[in-house]
Amino acid sequence: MNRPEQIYDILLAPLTLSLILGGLGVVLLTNIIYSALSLGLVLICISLFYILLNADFVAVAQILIYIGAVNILIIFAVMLMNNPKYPNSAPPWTVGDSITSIVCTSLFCSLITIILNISWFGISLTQKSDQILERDLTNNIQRIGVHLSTDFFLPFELISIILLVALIGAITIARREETV
Amino acid sequence: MLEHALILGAYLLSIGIYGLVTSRNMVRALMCLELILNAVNLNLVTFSDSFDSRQVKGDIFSIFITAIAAAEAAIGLAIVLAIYRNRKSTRIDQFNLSKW
Repeated sequence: MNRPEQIYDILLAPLTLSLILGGLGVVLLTNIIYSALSLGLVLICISLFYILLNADFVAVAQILIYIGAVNILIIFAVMLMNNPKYPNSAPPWTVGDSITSIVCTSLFCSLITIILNISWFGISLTQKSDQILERDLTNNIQRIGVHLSTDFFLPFELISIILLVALIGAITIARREETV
Repeated sequence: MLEHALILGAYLLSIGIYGLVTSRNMVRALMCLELILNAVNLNLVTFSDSFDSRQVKGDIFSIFITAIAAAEAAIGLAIVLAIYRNRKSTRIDQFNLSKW
């Protein structure tokens, strides 16, 4: 780790707390605008977590793509579909909610048990590395750039095609019908 | 640090699954799907930092997942908008459009 330890200790507890509260806020808040803003808070906290994990480029990409595009799109959709007369015919808590909460809590508890019981640093990963090339790469974005343009070049091109198709499809679906 | 981040990823995953299954509003379901994808990204970046500092393969894969999630959010919201325009309601449990 090339981050000083004080940053870890100062940032870790508030980040964890705001992640927990933000996640609860996305699911449990009844006003959906508050829920969308709480999702923005969760995305910011995850981005700060990436900085703690030495992934600078992924943190900035997270801010740009998720908060700058996806969250804004969600807020747009919420404002376009805001129904002032809220249909109160739905019961606030059904049997399905209880079953789902039991299942999700048991999933979370089993994951915690698995995570805490594995000796993580007993795993030895042997990988052949290109020692000559990788000695000169110092920061995260250089490493990502090298592997993205050599090993992962085909997924990179395919993802640009996927983005193009997704944008054309979204515009076609959401376009207002033209009445002649 | 590793276990801390993994437990946070597991928490976001479970609360995203709960929100996705039980939400009655369609946009809230899409927001919980974004939570799930972010939990997966957090896991990937954590493992890439702990075990793979030379070739950051986990970071690269998380960038791909982010791009796919953005495309899927755009299409999902376009579909939700089209449905809302036709049905004037966002209650996801009253729709039977895919029912055969």
